[in-house]
Amino acid sequence: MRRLLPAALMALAACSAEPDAPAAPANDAAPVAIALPAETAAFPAGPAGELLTQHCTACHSADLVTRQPPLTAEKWQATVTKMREAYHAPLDPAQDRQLVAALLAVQPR
Amino acid sequence: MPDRRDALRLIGLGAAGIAGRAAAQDIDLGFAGGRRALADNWPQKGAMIVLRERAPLLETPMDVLGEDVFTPNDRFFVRWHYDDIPLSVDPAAFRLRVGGAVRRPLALSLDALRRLPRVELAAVNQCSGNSRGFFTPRVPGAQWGDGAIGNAMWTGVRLRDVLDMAGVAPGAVAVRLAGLDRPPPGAPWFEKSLAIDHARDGEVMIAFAMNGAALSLLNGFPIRLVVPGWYSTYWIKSLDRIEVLTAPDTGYWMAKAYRIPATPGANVVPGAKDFPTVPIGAMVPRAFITPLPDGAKLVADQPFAVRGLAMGGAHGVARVDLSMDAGRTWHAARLGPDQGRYGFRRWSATIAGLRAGGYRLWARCTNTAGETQAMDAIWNPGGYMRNPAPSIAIRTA
Ligand code: HEC
Repeated sequence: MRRLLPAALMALAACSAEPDAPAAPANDAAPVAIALPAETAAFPAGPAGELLTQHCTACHSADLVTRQPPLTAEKWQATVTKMREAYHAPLDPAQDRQLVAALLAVQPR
Repeated sequence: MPDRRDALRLIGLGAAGIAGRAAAQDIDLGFAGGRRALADNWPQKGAMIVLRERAPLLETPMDVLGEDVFTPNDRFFVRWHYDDIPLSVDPAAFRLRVGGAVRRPLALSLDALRRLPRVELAAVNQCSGNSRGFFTPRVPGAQWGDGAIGNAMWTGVRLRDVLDMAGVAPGAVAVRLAGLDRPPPGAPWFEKSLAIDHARDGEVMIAFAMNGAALSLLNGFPIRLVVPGWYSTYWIKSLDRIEVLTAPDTGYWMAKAYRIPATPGANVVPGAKDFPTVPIGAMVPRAFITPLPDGAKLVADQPFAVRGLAMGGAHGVARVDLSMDAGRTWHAARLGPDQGRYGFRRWSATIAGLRAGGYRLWARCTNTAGETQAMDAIWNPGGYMRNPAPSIAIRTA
């Protein structure tokens, strides 16, 4: 256990006057709360963007989708299927063709 | 070893150049679609490259990474999977539950954890998909540049000590870990597991501080797992559940996601399908070349300094070598102090004067187990474990 120094040794080595360094949160530490910045990511305006906003932004922001490299229709279909099967996205398979077309329409060329 | 200021003087760049650089708004990560905004409005964070807003994926700019062996907490990369992440934690109410195949299920307060023997360890935390944006051909997933990585001095307690407090029952094979983030309705919890012997190796740690300060919420306050030498997918943030299993974990995040080809170096022919896979695990060696400041003018026939960081993965850094001829010949760089086998190690070198012209410099790290970086990149459909020898363009005039 050369690499894992017990705290007592560490304190000695560092000549630290602080008994409980470093900052281990204690039960009586103040609650910590943060607020995330307002979301700015969006699909481009237009019917394709609107369809994707409706179906693809419940669980993650649009930038995850718009930042994908150019993908084939087959790869986009695999992504849509994965959203439904792995993450239980409520996507009606009857709509897949429309979603894939919209994904192809908004992706960078 | 020349310090940063010497290095900058050597390459003929004054302080004005540095200030101009810090003000840059946009970053180009160097692959198609790799333009990103640098934002400084994330809580407990300085300027970060925003890859995804929800759930946050925030990347560390490479010039920040190169500044110090230890990555500043407020610039440390952020990676969550599900958008329901903990936005507030009350330390008084927080409990770490330990259950499953144990003699005494536990609900430990932070004070109870603090009473265990304390350990400290430097370790690199790197996303499995770090550098995915550079994959050729491209693969879907988070399109990271090289900055989903950081090194910290972690302080905490041993996972083994916590497991021993609960008393691991006979027949245990794995330990499953989960945190305060929650899945969308019906989706699997983000849970990862380690083999029982790995979990009890005395190095896997429950950390409550990084670089001497409490964790930020985005990096896993109040406690997170540290799995030295392994990719971050196992480093569960805001850890609140430990479950000892008597059968291998068949959950989605072990059995379906974060899997690599069971081939040497996780490498397959682009487009390959239907190959056997295994869960991703130990990291591989990498060197990083600290970018020369934009517009740096290297003077012809004058020696100049290059430097960077290296990591050995699951083993220490044995050496870093540099090449100016596309890997035909290599020359050893100087290594900075060893701060622990799992951490970053500084390297530096002085390059002899070059006639006016354009050049390319490669770096590669070899670890103490003899694994080294190849010139050619691997490929796999998940975009995992990328580690070819990096290079930078050099122009002298
Ligand atoms: C029910 C929730 C949910 C919905 C709805 C959803 N996704 Fe996802 N998606 C996820 C999760 C969870 C991930 C994994 C996130 C991570 O690892 O950070 C993901 C990841 C992705 C990725 C990254 C690549 C990958 O395979 O992981 C893409 C691209 C993507 N989603 C596209 C879409 C598109 C397009 C839609 C709409 C048709 C959609 N998503 C709808 C939950 C969802």
